[in-house]
Amino acid sequence: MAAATVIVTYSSEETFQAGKEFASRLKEGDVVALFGPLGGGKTTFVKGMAAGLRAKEPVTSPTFVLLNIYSGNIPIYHFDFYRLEKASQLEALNLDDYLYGNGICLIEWPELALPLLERSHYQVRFEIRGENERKIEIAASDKN
Amino acid sequence: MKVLGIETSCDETAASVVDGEAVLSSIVSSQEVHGKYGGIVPELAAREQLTAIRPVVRAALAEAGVEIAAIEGLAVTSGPGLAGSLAVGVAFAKSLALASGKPLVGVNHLEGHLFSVFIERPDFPMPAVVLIASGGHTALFSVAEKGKAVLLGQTVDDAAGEAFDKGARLLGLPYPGGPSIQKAAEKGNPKAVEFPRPMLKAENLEFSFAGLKTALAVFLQKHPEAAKERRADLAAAYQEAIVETLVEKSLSAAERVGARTVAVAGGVAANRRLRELLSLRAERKGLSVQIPALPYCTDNAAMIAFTGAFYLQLGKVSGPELEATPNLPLFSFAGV
Repeated sequence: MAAATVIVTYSSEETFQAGKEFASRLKEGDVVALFGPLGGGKTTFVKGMAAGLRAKEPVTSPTFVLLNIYSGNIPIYHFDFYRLEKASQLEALNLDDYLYGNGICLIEWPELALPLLERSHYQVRFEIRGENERKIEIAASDKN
Repeated sequence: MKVLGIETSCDETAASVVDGEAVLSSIVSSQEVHGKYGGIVPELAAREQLTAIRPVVRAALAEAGVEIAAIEGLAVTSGPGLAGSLAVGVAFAKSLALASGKPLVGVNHLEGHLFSVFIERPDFPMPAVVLIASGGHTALFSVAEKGKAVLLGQTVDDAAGEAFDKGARLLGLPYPGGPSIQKAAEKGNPKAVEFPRPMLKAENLEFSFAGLKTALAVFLQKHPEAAKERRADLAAAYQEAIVETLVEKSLSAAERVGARTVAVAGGVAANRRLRELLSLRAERKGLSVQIPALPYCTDNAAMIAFTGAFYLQLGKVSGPELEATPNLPLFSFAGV
């Protein structure tokens, strides 16, 4: 794991902005895994990233449908595996068709999918520090 | 017109026979299996639906006392929903249409919910504002008449049902969150904790529930003991915040478009506090309230057959190219 960047934000607007700035680093084929508790700021950060990538559609929670697709500068695949319990359930989603492909994959609740992230990806970790304070740690993982 | 409807967009397998506006049968086979997983598991859902669909369709025909030969048309949910689940219903309906030579129409699940408010009570004052609130959707529509709906606003993050589910998980309550929060809230004081009413002050008709979920998460981080010791109060306050937001936004939409009725559809419409508060506040404004009977709030096939009958009577038929469309847009109605 390469050295991590740590950002502390004090409002959801700042979390949004952090996502937007981070998005400027992203390119086709990138995968971003977002870790953190309910209310940690993941979706807000994704909204910022989508804005940075000029997504045309509004970003909403994909918890129910597991995947939202937005058309930005390049396709954005917004996954959410909150509801999944076993890695085998990922098979039905054809995750491999999206990973390291023609767009950017953003994955909330990615724990089960980690074994599938064979190549390098970004890991963004969120921590609730107070009512509005969030610690966001961004690292590039060179797995295997 | 006798229409057989099939609905498999999420975790239910449902079939129904309607005759014009009369519901002759409505069978819903829900999957108990998801409870222990804390949510819907797509792979399990589709597999169960594959086994359930034939007996469920048979049961719907038998209960209606109608032979398949007497059915005049078929309707099936073609989206939005889970890909694997939708595919089961669409493939089944297409095969049945092909084998029986009956016309088939694809129905948008959301439009099915919009039509559900007309089941059993087709004569409430129009125009109406219809709120659809479920696990996957929270959206407000202005409805001038059947089949003429305009999207006014929707959630910008979590759906209302999702807010219930995630709140329940934070409070250590079982899935699905709506009923379990409602039950826990019975003995609680909704004013014990002040949770935010997101976007209530905003001019637009959009919803946001992510901030509310965050407020509960932050509260529990500060007071870890509260999840158990003050569970009833927290459940009541959390429920009140969701419900009040839904009610106030719907009433403000009604005012904006000059609606005479406020209607609610979708699984969250089963919430007792929502029904109570909406009736109370709508009456003060002289608005009529229309909420379908419970079996038509949650996912069901009667609303799909009912919507299908409407479109089939207008001559709208889907061809063999009809496909399951998981991300079918909210406003893509009529002859999908």
